Amino acid sequence: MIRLSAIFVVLYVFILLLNGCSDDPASIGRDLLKDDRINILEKDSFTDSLNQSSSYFKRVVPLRDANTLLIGKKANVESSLLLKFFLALTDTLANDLLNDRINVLSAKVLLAQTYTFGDSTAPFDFSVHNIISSWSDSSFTADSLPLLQFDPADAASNINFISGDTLEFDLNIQNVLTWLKVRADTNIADDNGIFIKPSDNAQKIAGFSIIPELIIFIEKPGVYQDSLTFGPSSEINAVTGSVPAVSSENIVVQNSVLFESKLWFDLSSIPKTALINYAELTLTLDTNETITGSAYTGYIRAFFLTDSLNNSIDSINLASITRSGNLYKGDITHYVQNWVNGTDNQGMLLTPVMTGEGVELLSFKGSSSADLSVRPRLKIVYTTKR
Amino acid sequence: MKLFLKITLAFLVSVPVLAQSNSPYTRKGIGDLVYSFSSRRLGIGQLGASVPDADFISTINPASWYMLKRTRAEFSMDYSGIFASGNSLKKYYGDANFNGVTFAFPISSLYGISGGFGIIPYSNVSYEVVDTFRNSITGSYKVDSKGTGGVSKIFIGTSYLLPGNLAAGATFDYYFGTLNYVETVDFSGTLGLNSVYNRKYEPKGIGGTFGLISPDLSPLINSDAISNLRIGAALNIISPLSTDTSLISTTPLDSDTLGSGIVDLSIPFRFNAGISFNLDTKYMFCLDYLFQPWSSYKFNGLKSIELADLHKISAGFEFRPVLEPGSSFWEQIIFRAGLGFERTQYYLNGENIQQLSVFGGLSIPFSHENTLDIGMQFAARGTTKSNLVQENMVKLNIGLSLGEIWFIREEK
Repeated sequence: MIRLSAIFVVLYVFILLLNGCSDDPASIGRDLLKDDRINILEKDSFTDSLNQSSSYFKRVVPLRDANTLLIGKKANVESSLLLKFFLALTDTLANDLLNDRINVLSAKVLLAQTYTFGDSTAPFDFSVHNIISSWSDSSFTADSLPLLQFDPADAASNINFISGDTLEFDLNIQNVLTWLKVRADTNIADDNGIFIKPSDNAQKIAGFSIIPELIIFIEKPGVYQDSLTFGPSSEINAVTGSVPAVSSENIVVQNSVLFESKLWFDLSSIPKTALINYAELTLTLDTNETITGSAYTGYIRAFFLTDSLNNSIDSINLASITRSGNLYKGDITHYVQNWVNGTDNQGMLLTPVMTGEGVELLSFKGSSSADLSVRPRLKIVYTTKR
Repeated sequence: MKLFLKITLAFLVSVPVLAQSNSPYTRKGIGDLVYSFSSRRLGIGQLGASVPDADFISTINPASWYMLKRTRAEFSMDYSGIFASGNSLKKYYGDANFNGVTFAFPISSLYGISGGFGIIPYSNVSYEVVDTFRNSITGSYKVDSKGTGGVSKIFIGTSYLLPGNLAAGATFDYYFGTLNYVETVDFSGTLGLNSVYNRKYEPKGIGGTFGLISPDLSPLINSDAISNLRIGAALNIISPLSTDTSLISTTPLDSDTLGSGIVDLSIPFRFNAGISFNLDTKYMFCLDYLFQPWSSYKFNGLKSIELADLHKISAGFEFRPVLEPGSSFWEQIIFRAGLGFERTQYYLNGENIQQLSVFGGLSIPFSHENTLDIGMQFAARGTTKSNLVQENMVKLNIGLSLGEIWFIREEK
């Protein structure tokens, strides 16, 4: 029995050693499988003349949740700012305010600049107005702006940049005292904040941190002087813009305003059973019509359009289209796979990465460009079974 | 009994971890055919339809069980090495497999009744072809075509000694298996997503094997040197196998069943006839012919133009020493040799794929009725002409044949 075990073990080890000698699989016998092999094919909208169409439109969106507070005018864009501060008061101070024992000595607003759109040395000016009508940051859109009621008197003075990037201006102290008293008296509705509107001669847009400060210097005569610092409770960029001045064959993507583009390719020539291995979208930037600010990110996003009529998208799936030279390229394999599988091909939506940040205007060559080589291009690698 | 279990467990646990071999011919039909799983049969040319066995279990011809004296169990595993040559490439591929297990036991020595059952392979699919391509968008990528699986059968049967000492045997066979053909486009390291097409066939159905072995005809030739002269034949038939089929395409983004259904897979009958005799008692010779008309193979009602009728001729020799009290270990070893020529079932690019084989083997006794069996086959198959593949194969088969007295009742 020991002899058997020894022989068996030797043979088994021998087999293992032999097995380890195997080469990696190679192409030997490829021709024997030719009827079984799969086709790996390419489709290029440029060389294969796929039908395509593109257009752009302005989307009206709620203006809350801005990452940058924008003030100014440039090109087709004007941005105003609606701002409310949260005036937290102690009971003692509120009582003193209600009994007229507090004087406001001065009040100023500080805004830290983080962004510029346009020539940084270009003229920049604005006026500040007390808002009369009520507004809510959850529902205010660009279309609400014409309905906004405000005091035409400019409540700001001494507009000035200090320490390089911090904008400071004084507020009318009577207005500020009124705010404080309104805040102290819970029986009176809250104030409606201020409306910062660019002047006609402004030629750039400045962006600021979303945490402005309101500093109020007060005194209780004969008792004390003090400064109070408050942060914002609501802030909205009221960005408005006309149709950008771009070539009629171009499509645009612009932050904040908000302009978005739709792009569609006819994929009916790809078999429904095809597996999409790779699909790359390439857009050609029209650098003459593109205006970027200091928040320029270098890429845009493509969303899967579920209803091109109402511009509805599948917000979960997105693709990044990234700049490389004057081209923007992105992997949209999953979109193409869905379309090929039979999901209604409504095209895709091209949109800024941060819709509420900056006002970058990107102009791309569209589907009707006379030069076919600069039209949006879709290159696809796909597999089919013979 | 404990020995049986231990060895069975050892085989089942250890062997499946090994890699697979590579013969693209196995893509055709149901792959390479496995004639006999045992080391003994391999040693004498894989067949031996007319060879009755007291010490081994033949799955070629169940009539051969009529001589069994002990309950027997056989296990085997094999290693197949293939030196494959294409037009410009040469590669070596190895593959180890557990071949199966069979049990047989005598019931009545007087009537030659023995029972047997087991599970053994009927065919084997094993290939992997990898090729590299390039496109202008994603760069290089690989296409990997891989086939695995095969058809196996479970059988149960019996032998019976008819009047005139004509031995007959039959098995009821259940066929089953999985044939997997996977095509993978691999973009690893580039931009693309891999895509996989998995075509799977799962045949199942029944069949039977029927065999006859003549009584000893040596008295007819009146030679003292020749004994145990027998002729035998076996017929294996398989009903159309009901085959679940599916073709599934997969990428990381999507999985789709492109097709599925149940179709018939018709494996043609297999006929095997042979003659054998002993010379001077110790030397056994056998000559066999096997025919299987693969031209009538059908899958989903369609014949394959890549399959043709199979013809196989083999000759075998076995030296079995007469055991005497006091025989040394070396004097108990059984030696075998064989030759075989096969016009295989593969008919590709206008070429009948042929195979020439040389066989050898030995059985090493390690106790009464128990042997460690080793069989070897060296074969040359195919050609590099017509974009085909030349395969020089070596197969090493290791088996155990174990005998114990279980429940035989001697006739009075």
